[in-house]
Amino acid sequence: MKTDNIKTLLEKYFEGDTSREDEKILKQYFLSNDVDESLKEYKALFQVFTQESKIQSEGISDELPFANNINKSFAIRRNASWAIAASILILMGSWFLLETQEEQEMPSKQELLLAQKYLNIGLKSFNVGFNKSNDLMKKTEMIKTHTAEALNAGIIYQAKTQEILKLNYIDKSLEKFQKISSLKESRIKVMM
Amino acid sequence: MQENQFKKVVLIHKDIMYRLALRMLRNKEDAKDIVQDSLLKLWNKRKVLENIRSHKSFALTIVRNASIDLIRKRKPETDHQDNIERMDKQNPEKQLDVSDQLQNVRIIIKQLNEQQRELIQLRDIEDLDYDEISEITGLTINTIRVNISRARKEIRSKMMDKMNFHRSLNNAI
Repeated sequence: MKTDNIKTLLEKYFEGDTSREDEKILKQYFLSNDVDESLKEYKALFQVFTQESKIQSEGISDELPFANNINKSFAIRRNASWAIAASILILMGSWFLLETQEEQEMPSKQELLLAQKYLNIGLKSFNVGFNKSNDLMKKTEMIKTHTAEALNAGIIYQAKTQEILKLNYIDKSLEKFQKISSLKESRIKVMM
Repeated sequence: MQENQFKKVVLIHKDIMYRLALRMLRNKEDAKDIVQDSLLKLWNKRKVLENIRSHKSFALTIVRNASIDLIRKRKPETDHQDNIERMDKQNPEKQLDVSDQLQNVRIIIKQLNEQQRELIQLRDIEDLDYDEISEITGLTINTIRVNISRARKEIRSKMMDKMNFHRSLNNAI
């Protein structure tokens, strides 16, 4: 009975109509010691299939694909450099615009202090970003984070700078502020 | 995808990749080169791998396509001829022993055409289902079924020819 079933399966097998489960049954049968004499000629076929499935790759290194690693930090260092260059350009652009502005009336002390505050924030964040970027050439992920922070600080600084541009440009304003401060100091001394 | 993950989901298929390349190219050195190149390609495409459902099928597709490219570039092979000679050099009067029978089957499989070899390898040796084979080869399931049937029948036919030849010789003696 079993032999008849196997013969039926074998015919299906040669028609390409067997499932994987059917083929597993055939393999198990032909690898056993119970193969009917009339079917012995098929034993070698299934034995070869089993032996061939055990061949292993020779001399193919597990490390080979990783020998040509691209230096990841280089790409991020390059990106950080662009961010720093962009920040410098923003600052330079702001200074250039300030230089071409016509002088208007003298800003108030408060306005000058505000300008100075945002300038300091911008410079500080830029410096932080720049220093961090140098350190972070060793740690690739941190470079991205701190570069983003520096850019954000640069963006905030630029926004505030735009507001102050309506009043006066910062360098002349600071100069005047200093003159005012020194004048006030001398007045105080005189009074004393 | 990190190195550890790559080893776990791709490098683990190194052996099956090698066996497919070896079946298609019939040359160990070429098979080794193809697998190494394929692994490098897979590593360079590791970002794409993160979205792939079956890394095994993808890896085998790369190996298969690379093997086909190499076959197209090659001169007609001579090992095929060597194998035929080896079969003919066997003593025709001697009953085929088991190792001879196994070797004959190996030679017969080696003599199949490229597509038949590939399908026998993927189905009968690697036990992949027809969907996976379709994914790797780009063939429809019906085409796979028809061509596997032809390949199996050809193997059977050549095996029988050989056995009948030996039987008839033995009877004559």
